[in-house]
Amino acid sequence: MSANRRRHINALPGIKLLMGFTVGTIALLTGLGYVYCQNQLHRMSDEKGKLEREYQRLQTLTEAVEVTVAKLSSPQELKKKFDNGFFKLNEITTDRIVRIGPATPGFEGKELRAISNERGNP
Amino acid sequence: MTASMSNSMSRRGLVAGIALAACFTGYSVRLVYLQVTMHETYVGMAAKQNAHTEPIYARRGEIFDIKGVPLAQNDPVRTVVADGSLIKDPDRLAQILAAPLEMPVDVLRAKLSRKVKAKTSNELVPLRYIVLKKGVSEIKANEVSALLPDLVATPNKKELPISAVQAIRFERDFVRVYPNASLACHVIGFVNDSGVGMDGIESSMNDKMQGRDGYRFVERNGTGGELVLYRGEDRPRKDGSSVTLTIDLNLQQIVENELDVAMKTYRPKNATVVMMNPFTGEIMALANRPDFNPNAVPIIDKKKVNPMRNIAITDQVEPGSTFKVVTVAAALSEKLVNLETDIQCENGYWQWCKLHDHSPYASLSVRKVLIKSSNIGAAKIGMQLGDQRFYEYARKFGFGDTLKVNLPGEIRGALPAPESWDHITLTRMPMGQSVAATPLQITTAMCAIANGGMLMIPQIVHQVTDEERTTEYKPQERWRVVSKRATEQVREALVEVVGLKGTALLAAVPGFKVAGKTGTAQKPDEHGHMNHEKYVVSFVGFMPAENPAFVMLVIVDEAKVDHENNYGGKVAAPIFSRIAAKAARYLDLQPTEPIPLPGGKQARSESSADVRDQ
Repeated sequence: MSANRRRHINALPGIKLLMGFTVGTIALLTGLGYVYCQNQLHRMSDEKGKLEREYQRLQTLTEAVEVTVAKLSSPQELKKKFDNGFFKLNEITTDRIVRIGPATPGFEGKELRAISNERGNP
Repeated sequence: MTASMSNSMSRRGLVAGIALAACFTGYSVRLVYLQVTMHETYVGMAAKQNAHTEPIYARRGEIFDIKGVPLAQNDPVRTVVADGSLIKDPDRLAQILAAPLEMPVDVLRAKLSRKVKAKTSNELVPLRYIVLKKGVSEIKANEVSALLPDLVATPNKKELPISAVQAIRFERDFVRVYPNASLACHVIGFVNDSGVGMDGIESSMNDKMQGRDGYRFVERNGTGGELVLYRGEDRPRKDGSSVTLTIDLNLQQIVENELDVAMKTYRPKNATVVMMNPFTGEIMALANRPDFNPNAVPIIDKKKVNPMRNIAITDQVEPGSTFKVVTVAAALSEKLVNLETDIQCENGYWQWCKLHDHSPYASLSVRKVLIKSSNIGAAKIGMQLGDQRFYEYARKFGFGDTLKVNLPGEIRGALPAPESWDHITLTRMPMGQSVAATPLQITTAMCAIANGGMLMIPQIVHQVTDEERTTEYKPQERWRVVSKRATEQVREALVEVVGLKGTALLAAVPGFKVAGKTGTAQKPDEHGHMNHEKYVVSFVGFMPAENPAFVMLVIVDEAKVDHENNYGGKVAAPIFSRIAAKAARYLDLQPTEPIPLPGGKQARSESSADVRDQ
């Protein structure tokens, strides 16, 4: 066997191996990455589903509370409470009401102005 | 290694390679066939097994009063739905669900066993979307949901397969609630079981409030959980618009409380109050009796007055003397008369047309025709106008046609054209006979007097709000009816109607000038003859007379009082007075007239300066 042929048989195809290894690693990482991403996608979508359900639950709760508040503050309900003595009303007769005239229009600047008891325009 | 051995190995390698390649090619072809050619078929089959369309219910728009107080809301509830394809033993499941859902077993069994014809064949298959019960409260749904696995697993009973538990779902839904019960029921209306508006604003604004349901293709795993990742086509729901009314709930409450008192006092067949802002045409309060609770719509009893009728727009009455305002305003606007023009009143009986006054007057000024409510005087003024001109004015005041208010069922009333009149019609119409009007028409006509002569289109919707914008409904003037000067003169006379010499002293409100007119109309019996026992009495007025904050009409139909007391001035006027006094306090109207004190003294209308001086 000539020296030339021996060198040909024993030589390791380093570059090819390296390329194969690199391609294999990339394929492996891609595959693993894909699986990881898929898992993440499932996990996140489950999380999204949970948050949606929680949001809906809170929204429903808010709506139910709003309805209850409206019912409890309706005139009929307040009248019932009034009839049951839950609260009382003091009547203020018309002749007891003091009406204050509208305030005099203010100055636009920051200057001080004298206090006046005069009424503004009715 | 010999050359022959080497050749043999190469051949075998080649054969193996070809065999493997053929094998993989075969698999690849099959794979392509399944994944590409048959893709749609298998996706369809998989979807049929695990996926379904889930509706996303749109929220119906809410209704608010002008201050934002809710009048109609959506209470979240659940709709119990079953998937028939997952139910193996409908009878057993019906027995389990009957008690917690409070439904008869037979009804449930029938629903759970429903079958439909398959799309691809004539075979009957179980229905996949069965609505078992609507409007189940959140609490109840949670109870049933938690109870179901336990019920199924009861050791003494035959267990149901787990798929039967998965077959029951609790979908989110809403039920319409009216937190104020019967308050403003005729304005708000109600919805039917399907959530469609049937009356009131619920009906007239149904298109805007309804919204549009969405849907979602949902795929579920073996345990019934949704696979969010595989959600299909989504159409989001579009919630309905919310409607804000011109009604003020506090004024509505004041009106309805007084109507309730009137119903107890006079026990009438029905009664109506309409309160409007004369300058904008906004309806501030509108109430009828009898009424109903829209949360529990009653079954109509044909022998009784339908409590769901919005009498203010769906029924017509003879306006009676309130119509004299139209006659006088028209004559003043045409400058045919002034307030002091004398009208011969034939000493109480006009032979030519057989017309009576309740008191004999030789002659009255136009002013006094209104103050004393003279029929003969009104008839003579009407005759000065002439039939065509009188008819045109009546039309301009809004009679004989709908006012196009945003409420269902509004009628035109009855205002016959002059061609169909006989020789005495022109003596009857000016005093409010031979003409019929809705309470809303009478109120709107008085608004034209109160605001200086413009006919406003009555407005019940203040604004509509959807997800993107708010649309305001602006006041709409229809046309000028009479001159401003004529309205000022009529107002002057109407203030005296509520004075010591007028017919409506009981409509007076301490501290304020009230302008108004009474009306008393006899009702015909079933044979068309006037019944001396049945009257429709009314009062329509505005306050403060100088700058009206509201126009209000009170109508009481068939009050159970003595014949001598069954007049607008005695029955309707006091109701007006009580409501107006309370409304003035609520609207914070400043008194302009002296207020009588309990001790007989009089309080002046106060101001801060006056108070300081005392």
